[in-house]
Amino acid sequence: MNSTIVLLIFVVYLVTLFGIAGLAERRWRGGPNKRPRIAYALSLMVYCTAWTFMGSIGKAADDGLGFLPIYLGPLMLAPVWPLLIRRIIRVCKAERLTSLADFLSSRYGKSRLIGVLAATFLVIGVVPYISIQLKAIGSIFSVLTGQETIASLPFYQDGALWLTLLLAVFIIVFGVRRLDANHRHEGIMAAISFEAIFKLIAFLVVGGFLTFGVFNGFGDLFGRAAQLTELADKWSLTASGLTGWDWFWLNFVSMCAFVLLPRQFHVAVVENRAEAEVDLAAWIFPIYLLLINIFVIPIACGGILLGIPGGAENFVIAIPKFLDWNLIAILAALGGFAAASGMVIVSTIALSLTIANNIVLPYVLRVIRPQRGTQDGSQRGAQADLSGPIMNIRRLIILFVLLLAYGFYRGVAAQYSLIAIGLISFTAVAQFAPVTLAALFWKQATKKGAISGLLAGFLVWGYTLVLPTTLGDSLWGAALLEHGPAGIAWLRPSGLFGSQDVSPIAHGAFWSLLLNVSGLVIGSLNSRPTPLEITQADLFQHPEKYAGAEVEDYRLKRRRARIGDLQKLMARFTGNQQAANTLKAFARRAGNGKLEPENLASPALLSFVEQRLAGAVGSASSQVLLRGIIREEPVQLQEVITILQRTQEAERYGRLMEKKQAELERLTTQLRAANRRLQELDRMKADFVSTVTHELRTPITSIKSLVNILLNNPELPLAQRQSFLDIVVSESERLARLVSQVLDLQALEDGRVKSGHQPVDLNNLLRKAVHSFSGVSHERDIDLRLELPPATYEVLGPADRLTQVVVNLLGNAVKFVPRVDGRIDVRLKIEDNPVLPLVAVRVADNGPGIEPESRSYIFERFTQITDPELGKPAGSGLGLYISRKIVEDCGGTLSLERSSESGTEFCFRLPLHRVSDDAMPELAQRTAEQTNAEVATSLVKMKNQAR
Amino acid sequence: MSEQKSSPLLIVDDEPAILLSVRFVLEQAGFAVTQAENGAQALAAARETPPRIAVLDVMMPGMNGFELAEELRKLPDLADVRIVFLTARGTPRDKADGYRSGGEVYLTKPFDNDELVRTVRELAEFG
Repeated sequence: MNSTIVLLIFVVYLVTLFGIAGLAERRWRGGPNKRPRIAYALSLMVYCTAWTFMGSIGKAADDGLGFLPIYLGPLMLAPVWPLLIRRIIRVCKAERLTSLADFLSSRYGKSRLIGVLAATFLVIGVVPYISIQLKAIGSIFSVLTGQETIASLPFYQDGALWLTLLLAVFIIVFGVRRLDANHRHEGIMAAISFEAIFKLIAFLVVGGFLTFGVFNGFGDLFGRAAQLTELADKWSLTASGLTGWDWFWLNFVSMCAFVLLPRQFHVAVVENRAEAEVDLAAWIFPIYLLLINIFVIPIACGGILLGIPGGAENFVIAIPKFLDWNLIAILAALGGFAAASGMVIVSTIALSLTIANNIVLPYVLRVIRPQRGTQDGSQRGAQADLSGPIMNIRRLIILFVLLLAYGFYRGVAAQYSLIAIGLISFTAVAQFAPVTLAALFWKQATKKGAISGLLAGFLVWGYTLVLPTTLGDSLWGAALLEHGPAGIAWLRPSGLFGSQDVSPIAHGAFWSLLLNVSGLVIGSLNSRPTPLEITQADLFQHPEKYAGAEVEDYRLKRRRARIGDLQKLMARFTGNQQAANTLKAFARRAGNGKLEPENLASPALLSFVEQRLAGAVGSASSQVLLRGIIREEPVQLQEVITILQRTQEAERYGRLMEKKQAELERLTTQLRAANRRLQELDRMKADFVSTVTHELRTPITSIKSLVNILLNNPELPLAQRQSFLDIVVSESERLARLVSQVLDLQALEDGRVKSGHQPVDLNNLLRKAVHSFSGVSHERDIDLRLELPPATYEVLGPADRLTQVVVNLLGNAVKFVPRVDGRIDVRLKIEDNPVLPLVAVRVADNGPGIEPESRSYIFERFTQITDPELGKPAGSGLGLYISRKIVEDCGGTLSLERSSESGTEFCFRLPLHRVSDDAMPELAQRTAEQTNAEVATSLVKMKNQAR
Repeated sequence: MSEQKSSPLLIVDDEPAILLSVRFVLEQAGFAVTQAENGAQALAAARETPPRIAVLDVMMPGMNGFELAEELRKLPDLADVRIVFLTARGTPRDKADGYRSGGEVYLTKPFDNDELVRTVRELAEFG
C-alpha cells in the first residue's frame, strides 16, 4: 500500500478520535452521571496495549503459553481489586491527589523527596514502555506499506514520528484544558473507551476471519497445528520454558502493574467520578481480558501454518494483508494503532502530571512564586495569572515525554521485543507495591522506610534487569554479565547470590522486591515518624473519617498567613472569581461568616487552600506556593506541650466517657427493672380493683334483690320476712367490712396509722377477740382455746388495730378448719431474747394448710389464699397484708410459723413494753421454771430499768 | 303457668343469699327451680332433672360458669339448654367469653328482679 494513503488513513482515524473527544467534552461535562459508567470500565482496558494486540501473538508463537501471566495476574486480582482501588480513590479524593507520586509523597509526610524519587523512577520505568508502543506504530506502518526497516529511514520520513506528533497535539488539546486537575479529562476518557472497543472488535474480526474463513473452525485449526512438529509441543506449561517460580513472579508483577502503572492509576483513580463505576468495572475488565485473549493462539498458529513472513508480532496485520483482505488489514492496523495510541495518550498525560507536579513546578514556582503582600511582593507581578504559564509547562513536558520515548525507540528499543521491555517496565512499577500497600495498611511505615525501600528496589531492578539488557554488547559489559563486578561471581547481575536457571524477570523481581521490602521495614522500624506522617498515616488508613472534613495539620499550627494573600495566590491559578467563590464556600462550610482579607487565616483555611492548590499544581508545588506567603514561626516548646497535652486530654476524656457509658448502662438497667416493677404493681392494682368490685357487687346483689322481694310481696309470712331481713343485715355488714378494709389499706399505705401508739394490755385484747368468735365457733362446733400466762403483758401500739390483726388471724383460721373436729389454739408467750424481750401471740388451726407454692407470697398485697375446700379466693386479699403492716408499724413481725396438712400456725411478735407489777414475781418464777433462768433475769432487769 | 311449670330451671350460684333470692323470684314467676352451689352439684342435679334453662353465676369456685355451661351441653338431652349468665363482672371481654360459651343472655350483678324474670320467661316461651 502507498505510504501516503496509509498515513492519511491514520490521520482520518485520529481526526475521528478528536471528534469523539470533543463531543464528550461537551456532553459528559457536569454531573457525575453524565458520563456512562461503562466508559470507566472500558478505559481501564488501556491495560491492553500493542503488547496485547501484537506482542502476545509473538510470544505465543515463540514460547506457547508464556503470554498468559500478563492477563492471569489482573484476573486473579479481580476479586480484591474493587476494595483496594476504592480505598485509594477515597484517599486521593480527600487529599486531591493526582498521581501515584503525589499519593506516596502525601502519605509519607508530604515529602518532596519521595515525590521526586517516585516521579523519576516512574519516568525511567515507563518511558521505554511508551517507546515500544511507538515502535509498534512503526511496525504497523511498515507492515502495511511494505517498507522494510524504519530505523534506517531519516526521521522526517518516518511515519511513526508524524503520528507521534499528531498524538502529541491530541494529548495537548484534550489533556491540558484547564488547571484544576479535579476537572477530569472527559474527552480523553471517551477516546480511550472508543479505542478499547475498537481494538477488541478489530482483534476479534481478524481472529474470526482467520479461524472460520481460512480454517474450518478451532478444531480444524488446532488439528492442523498439532501435525506441525514445531507447533505441536508448544501448548504445555513446560514448553513455555517457565518454571512455577517464573509464573508466580510474572503474575505478581502483572498484578502490581494493573494497579500501579501510571496510566492505570490515572484512569482508575484520578479519572474516577463515582465509586459505583468501580463495581461495574470489576465485572467488565475480567470479561474483556478473556475476550481479547481468545484468538491469540489461533492467530499465532494460523500465521505459522500459512507461513506468513516477518515476525509473529506482526501476524495480526500481516495475515490479512498477505491474504489480500485489504479492508481487514486496515481494520487490524487501526486496531493495533488504537491499542498503542491509547496507551501513549494516557501514559503521557499521567507522566506529565507526575513530572510537572512533583519535579518541575515545585522548582519553577519557588523562583516565581508570589510573595507575601508586602510592598516588594505586590510589585513582583503578584497579580499576574500563573495558570497560563503552568499549562504551557505541562504542554512542554508532554512533548518532552513523547520525544524522549521516540528517541528511545529510535536509539534502543528497536532491537528489543515488545514483551521484553514491557516486562522490565512492569517490574519497575512493581517496586511501588510495597510502599503503596504500606501507605494503606501499615501505620508504622515512615518516610525513611519508604525512601530506603524505593531506592533499594530500583537499584536492584536497574542492576539485574536494565544493565544486562543495555550493556550486553560492550566488552566490559559482557565481562560484567559473565563474571560479575570485579570478578565476584555471586554479584553477577543475572545470578545474584548464585541464583541459577531463573528467567531474568523472576530473578530481577525477586531480588529487587526482597531488598525493597527489607529496606521499607528496616527503615521504618528504625526511624520515628513526624507528627505530620502520623496524621497522614491515619488519614490513609481511614479516609472515610476525613471525607469532607478539614484535616488538622500539625505543621500548620505554626504557620501564619493573611487571608487576602491566600485569595490572591489562588486567583493566580484559578482566576479571581473562582478564588473568591472558593473562599466563600469555605466560610459557609466553616460557618464563620465573612473572611476579612487583613485577618490571619486559620489552620483549617490553610489546609483548605493547600488542597485546592494541590488540585491545580500538585501537593508538592502547592506547599512551595504557600510557603511563599506564610510567615514561618519556629515551633514553640509550649505548642508542642499543648499538642501533647491535648492528646493526653483526649485519652483521659475517652476513658471518662467509657466510665460514664458503663454507668449509664447500669442506670438504664435499673430503670428498666423499676419500670417492670411499676408495670407489675399497676397490673396488681387493676386486678385488685376488679376483685374488690366483684366482692362489693356480690352483697349488693343479694341486698338489692331481697329488698325488692320484700317491697313487692307485702303478704309474705313474717318468719320469711325476718329471715330475708337477717340476710340483708349480714350482707350489709359484709359490705361495710370490705369497705373499711379498703380504707384501712389506704391509710396504711399513707402511713397514717403510725400515730396513736399507746400501751395495750395484750391479755385483755386476746380475751375480748377470742370471745367475739365464741358465737361462730359454737355454731360450727370449733374447739377454740385461749392460753394466757398469769402475768399481764403490755405492748405499744394502736389497740383497735391490734385487735383487727387478731380478728383477722382468727377469721382465717375459722375459714380453714375442717367442718368436723375443728380446733383453734391462741397462745401468748414471752420469748427468750436477752436484749429485747418479745411477746409472741400464736394462732394455730388444724386446717389443711397452705399450699407450699403460695406460702412465700401470702403476705403480699392483693394475694388471696385459696380456700382449699371451695377452690375460690377466700377474701379480698388484704387481710394478711394489712395485719403485717400493722404489726410492723408497732416494731414487730408477723410470720407463718408452720403449715402442713395437720394445720397452720401464724405468730406475731411485738416488743414487750411492760409487765404488770403484781404479776412480776410470779412471772419470774414461772419463766425460770419453764424456760430458763436467763430470760427471767433479763426480765427482772428490764423491769427495774423501766422503773 | 302450667306451661312454665313444665320448663324446669336450674340456678347455680356459690352465694347462698343470691341463690335464695333468685330462687324466690323465679318460683314466684311460676318456674320449677332446682338449685346448686357449685358446678359438681349442678351437673348432678341436671342429670336428675334436665333443665330447659340454666341461670349460672360466672365466678364460682372450682368450675366457673363458662366451663359449667360447656359441661351441661355435653349431657344427653341438654345440647339445647338455654343459658343465662349472672356475673359481677361485666366487661366487654367477659361478655364475649359468655357468648362464646353459648350463653344467650348476660345479666350483670346487681340485676333487677323483674328483668331476670322477663329474660327467663322470654327464653322459656320463644327459645
